[in-house]
Amino acid sequence: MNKKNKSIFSAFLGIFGTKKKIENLTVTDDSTIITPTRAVFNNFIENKLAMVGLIGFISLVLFIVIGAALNPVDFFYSEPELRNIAPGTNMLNFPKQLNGNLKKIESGTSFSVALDNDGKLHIWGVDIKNVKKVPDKVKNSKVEDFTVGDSFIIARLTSGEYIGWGNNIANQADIPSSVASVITGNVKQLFAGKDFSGVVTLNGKAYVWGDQAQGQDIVKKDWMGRIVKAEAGKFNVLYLLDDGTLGIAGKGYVATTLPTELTDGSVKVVDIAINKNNAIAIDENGKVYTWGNSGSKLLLSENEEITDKIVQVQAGYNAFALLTENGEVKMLGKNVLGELNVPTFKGKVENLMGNYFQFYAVDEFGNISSWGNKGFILGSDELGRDLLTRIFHGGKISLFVGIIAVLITSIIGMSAGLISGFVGGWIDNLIQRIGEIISSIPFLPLVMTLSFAIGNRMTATQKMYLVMVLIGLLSWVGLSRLIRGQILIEREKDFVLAARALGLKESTIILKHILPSVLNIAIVSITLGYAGTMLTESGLSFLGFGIQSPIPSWGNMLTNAQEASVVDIYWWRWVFPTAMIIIAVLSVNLIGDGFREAMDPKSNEK
Amino acid sequence: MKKLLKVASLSTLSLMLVACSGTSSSSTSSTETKVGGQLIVDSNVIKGNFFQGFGNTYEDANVKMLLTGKASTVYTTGSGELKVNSTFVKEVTNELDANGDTVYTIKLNEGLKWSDGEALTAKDYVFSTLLKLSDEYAGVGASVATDGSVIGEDAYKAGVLYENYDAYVEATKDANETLQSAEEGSNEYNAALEVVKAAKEQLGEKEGENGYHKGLKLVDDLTFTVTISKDFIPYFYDLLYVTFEPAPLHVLASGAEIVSDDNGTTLTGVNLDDVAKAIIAEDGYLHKPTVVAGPYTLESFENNEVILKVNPNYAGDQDGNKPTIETIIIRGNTNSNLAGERLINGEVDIVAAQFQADIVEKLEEKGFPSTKYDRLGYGHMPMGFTDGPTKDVHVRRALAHIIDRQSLISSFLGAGNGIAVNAEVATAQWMYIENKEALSELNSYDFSIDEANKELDQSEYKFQADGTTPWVAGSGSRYNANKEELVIKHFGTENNPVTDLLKSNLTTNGEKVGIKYESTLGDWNALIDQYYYWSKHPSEDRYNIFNLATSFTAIFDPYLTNHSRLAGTSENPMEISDPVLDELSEKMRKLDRTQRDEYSKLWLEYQTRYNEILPFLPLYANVYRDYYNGDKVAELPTTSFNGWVYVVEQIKLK
Amino acid sequence: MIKYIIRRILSLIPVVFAISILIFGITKIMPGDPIETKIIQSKVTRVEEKTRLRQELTAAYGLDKPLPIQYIKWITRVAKGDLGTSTTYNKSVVSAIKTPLQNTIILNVFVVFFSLTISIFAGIKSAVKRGSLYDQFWQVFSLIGTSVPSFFISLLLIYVFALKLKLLPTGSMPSASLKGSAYLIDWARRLILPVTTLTIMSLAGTIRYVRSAMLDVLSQDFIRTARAKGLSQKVIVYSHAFRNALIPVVTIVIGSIGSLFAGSVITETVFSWNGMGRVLVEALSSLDYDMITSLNLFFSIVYVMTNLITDIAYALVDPRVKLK
Repeated sequence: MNKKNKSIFSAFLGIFGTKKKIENLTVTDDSTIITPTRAVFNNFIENKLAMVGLIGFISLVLFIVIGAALNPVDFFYSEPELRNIAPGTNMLNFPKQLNGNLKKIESGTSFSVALDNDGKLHIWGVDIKNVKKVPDKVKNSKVEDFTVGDSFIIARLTSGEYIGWGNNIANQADIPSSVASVITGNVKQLFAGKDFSGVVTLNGKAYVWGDQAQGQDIVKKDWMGRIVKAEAGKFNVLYLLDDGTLGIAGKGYVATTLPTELTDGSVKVVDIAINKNNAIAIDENGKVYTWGNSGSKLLLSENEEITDKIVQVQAGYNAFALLTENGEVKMLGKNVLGELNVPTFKGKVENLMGNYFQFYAVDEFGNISSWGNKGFILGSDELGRDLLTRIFHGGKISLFVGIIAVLITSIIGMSAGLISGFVGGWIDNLIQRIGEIISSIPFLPLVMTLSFAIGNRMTATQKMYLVMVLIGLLSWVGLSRLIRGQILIEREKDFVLAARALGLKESTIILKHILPSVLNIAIVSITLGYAGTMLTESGLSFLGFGIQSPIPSWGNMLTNAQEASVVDIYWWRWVFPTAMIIIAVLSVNLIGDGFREAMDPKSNEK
Repeated sequence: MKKLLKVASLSTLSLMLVACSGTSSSSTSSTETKVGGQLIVDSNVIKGNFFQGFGNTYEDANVKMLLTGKASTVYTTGSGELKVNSTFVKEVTNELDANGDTVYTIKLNEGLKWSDGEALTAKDYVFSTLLKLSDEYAGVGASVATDGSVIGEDAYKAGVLYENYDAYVEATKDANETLQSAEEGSNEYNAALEVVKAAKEQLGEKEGENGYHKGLKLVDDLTFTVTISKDFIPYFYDLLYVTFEPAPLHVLASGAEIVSDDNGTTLTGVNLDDVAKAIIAEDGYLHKPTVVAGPYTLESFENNEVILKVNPNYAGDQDGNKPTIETIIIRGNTNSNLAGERLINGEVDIVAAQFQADIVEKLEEKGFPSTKYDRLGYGHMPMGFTDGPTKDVHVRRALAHIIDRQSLISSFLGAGNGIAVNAEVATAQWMYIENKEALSELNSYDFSIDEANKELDQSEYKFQADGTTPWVAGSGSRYNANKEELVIKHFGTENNPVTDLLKSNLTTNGEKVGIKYESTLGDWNALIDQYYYWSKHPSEDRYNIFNLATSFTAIFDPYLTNHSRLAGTSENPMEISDPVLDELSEKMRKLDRTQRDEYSKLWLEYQTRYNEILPFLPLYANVYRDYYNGDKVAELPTTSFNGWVYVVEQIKLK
Repeated sequence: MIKYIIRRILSLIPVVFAISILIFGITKIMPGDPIETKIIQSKVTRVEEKTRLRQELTAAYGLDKPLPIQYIKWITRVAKGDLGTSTTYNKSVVSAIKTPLQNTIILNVFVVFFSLTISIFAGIKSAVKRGSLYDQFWQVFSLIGTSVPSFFISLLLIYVFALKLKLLPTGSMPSASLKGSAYLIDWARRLILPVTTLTIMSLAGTIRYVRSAMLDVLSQDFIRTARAKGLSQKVIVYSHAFRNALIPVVTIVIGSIGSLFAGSVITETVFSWNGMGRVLVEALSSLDYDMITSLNLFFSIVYVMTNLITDIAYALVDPRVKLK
């Protein structure tokens, strides 16, 4: 039971106080005698809205706590390729009619494209850059071949015409006229990487266009006329030449560490694959060669020994898929987005496809199976992190942060109220004056100045607790005034006078009669105060004084979602955190209101 | 957050050189072209300091440029070279005087006018310098940096007669030391202040009398001279010594006269104290400059909005172009995230220097035309040079290898919006353009865990916790011989996507190479305290790496920044002290203005050495885009060196 | 009653005094040092130049005196109306905050006006028609209003009215280039969205109290007698009930002004409204000492005034809280 729930239930039990006594009362006539707190409880139960609030809040807290427990998160993880992906978990749901009728599948970052044998294109997954809006010309004519970049598609129709759509920021989706004139009717393979694309012609030449910042467009003269196959990485193009040697275009460590035996002819390579910083090749007798960056388990040395003969390789961003000669699939790399959850296949696998975060395998009977990134239930944020997981962990912090402030407020507020109510005299006056000073301090400017003054002498989390302690220290005055007023009224009430006449000690009067009603007021102000602290936290994060990213809180998730482009295009990045704040604050307000209604003497009238 | 980046670049702006573009394309002759129309430009918050010595924000500097900045004697070309502004200056000559110092003579053209029709003469140029450097002007809060190259400049600034200056320096020598080190308000601090004050009374100018500037001389209405001490000549950027901006003598000190005699040049007939106080008064020239010499006069500044009207008496830019736009409105905003929307909504016509992927993509989609140019500066990661683990060059190079700068650029800026540079260069500099081939051979520090480990194995941190067995991947942090763990402490500014991406790079990749990474976030002022005063903090409190953005100007003179003589000052806070770099930076600046090829060769050597020892790691150089409303603005010829204010005369409306 | 009000006002003096000490103390523990920031920005490098600048600025800021004396000097200056000079605007704080103060007052006058009128009419109507659809609408409205961060409401309004419907500008101040009626219309167009945001925030808080105050009054005996006398519903509600409910309503709305001013910090930043809140955020980031202390003092005085009015109104209306 999380701390928050305990405090509410203990409060309930406190109210019942005299639970045991009620059993032995025989309910004979209609005016059963019940303590004021019991009456409050009954009123609360009957109030539909209050119960909705209570149930809502408890289910929200459970949803957050359980969700956070089930989805451990590394706050520093980010995947720029999956920035701002809309909600949707259909990235692996290929159309069933493709089974047995499939020519080829290629994947972008959040979608995949397939071409069936009747020349029809199918697209599934989450749309980015309008890739799913297939131009009409492509829709109503047969497609011969196609390629998919990170967020764009180029298709060749049977008429030989090329049409590109999707992200075209570096003109990667249109074939430049200089290339078009040379390649008509002479194209063996289309390929595309991050913002660049290329072709391999039947006579072994290659042309690349689009983003050339990394020199990925440079095709060396002695490769021209000998290129058999090309694979596009993020900043590089890996070429398989006719003599089984390799050539690589573009800069980076994966280019500089190309093993010499793969270039000097001592090895005859038959298949290649490359991703951001690593590459893989297999030779004619199925031996695997890997090179590039260490640390992401994509090098042979970082995985257990592979004994089988490998016939095909398929690149993903965080993993490589290897097809063994007897139709099994082995994976290298890390299980970042489900890449290593290889399904069981009905038959021997004959072909591997996909890219980025989605893998597809076609078995001997033509059945397709897929694994990898299903998608993000609530979408992804500006650093490609799953929004739902961040809502869970952000929620834990936002809900928890409110508790500290509210506890401090209620403890100081109640004690100050009780003391000044009962003791009176100069102490009461002193507390009143201190209350006045504190309540006339402008809250937001003061917290901003203080959190500014503390600056970096504290870590981010210490600063967060301090801000909450500050909020607590500054908002107890209202509660103490309410309690003081209540005590002054209660003391004059007849039953207290009667009790005093009966000779009951002052302290028992206080504990038995006055304290319950004071407790009720405290609970109302706690619940309403709690809602207020949640808003304050989000306001402070918005101004940059709250909880520091990358640690999430609902408040700071909204802060970096305040660009106008987010408001209209990436709507999920602000709708869901705001919905969470609204549900939490609304339910707490409903509980608070429910209590106030329940305690209002008028509501007891027949 | 973008605001933070812009403010971040402000603080390292070296001498803000007056510059206006003179792109090679032949510009229209200055015939009477039709003047009309209104241009609205989006901007960040404008503070309203429109005169020399105050307000160093980028936005205030832009307004100053439009008011009188363009009447400067020297300008910067589109590729960052200094040239004499022939519209205002007829010729600049120099010869040696008796004791070997160089006297530059500046001869103005005739017929130059202020916006109220009064003649603009050499008096106004001499007066503006006398005012700017006077101790009375500093007394009202102005601050102007000088390098002591002009004879008599220091004496004049200290309010001391030239011949007494050496005695004055001697008398206040140790007082200056204590003022540097002592705590403000402590007794030795106040005692030192007293010593300085007493020395000034005794040796300084008499009360109420304005000081004498020995090195500045008014010859006649169109000519004045400035004398540069021989220790500062030759200097490759010696045109800086003849860069002067006018100030309206007849408005700010009416009735005053400028007298030059063997004591030097002084202002008579008015007390500089009153002039200075009048300038910063609420309606003073600082806030409401009335008479100007540049292309535009200030009509109003209210509610963060500057309205400017064309100045008919403006002589034109260095190619004689005159502005064709009658009214310019600059609207200051706090919400820079909505800049794109303001352009789309038609509230503004120009949105300058956009580089964020989201905004660029949206404006491209909406088909807004833009002028694209490489930023004059970059985001970089300074590393402690003399203290902490980063004092070892291998640790610095390893850090460079574990930051995947390519994906940092592609995710923070978006494809085609930025490039990684590997030395202290900006792609717009003429030296970069001439040495592009050689620069591409420099070590590009590709993202590679193995290279990082190779570097660290050559550093002192090549062991495991026991200080003897060599470190092996997966065995946790690295240690040196005396069992000290390799810990890198990073300080970054809040709400800054670059800080977040650095943190994710250094955390995930740090583990793979045995670096224990700790990061602290702070705000801009905390950064100033931790970065610019790095050497003042005790060694164990110091952070090892920071991340901020720097802008360059046309002057590339590492002698003023990365030289070991400045180690520990706010110019070289991370105490970069490398003898090879020092020697090269001294040789570079000692060239004559004409030795352009030698300068370029030395510059390449400097960058090669820089790339080798990597005092700090350049992260990304943005590509800036100035977007404008295509139906209203026909042409916006901005470049890396010259923003829209520098080319305002060439902006054409439809 | 009058005796109580006077005593209440007298008790303000120690309160304001304590607040001024608190505000002065906070700005003193701020990180960084204004002189160092100024020296860095001035690009001054040479030692003798730095000492001269340090000497000028120390004297100008009076930092060479021990803290208590600095405080006394500061408080006497403030009492005389001299709030010091702003280091970022290089003019007196008074002249620097003149326009932002006007803009914040204009903004909040409209907000108080609208939230007062709407909360009174809607409050009374929903009290009279307790349990009706109208009543429930306003209850849900006030619940949602208090549960939503203000920058979210402002962003939503900008998105709908400025970006999608293109009816209103996205924010920032009216342009002085417009003359006469066009200038006034521009003022109105720029005020609509920020005023709506702040009214929703303030309304959400006040409407609930107005409704319960009205319910209290309606259930009192003199209303029953009035009904017994056969007075029409309209007379009862708008003369008897309304007059008695007016005092709590007014005090509640005025009481909310304090939080309104502080709350407008966020709204002013989102709408680029040149008001006191935005100026404080700017002053904090550029360590403009005198500006920060004066703005915090301004916000505190607004708070103290609104608390005073609320207390007096409570004493007038609510016998329970008889402050002896």
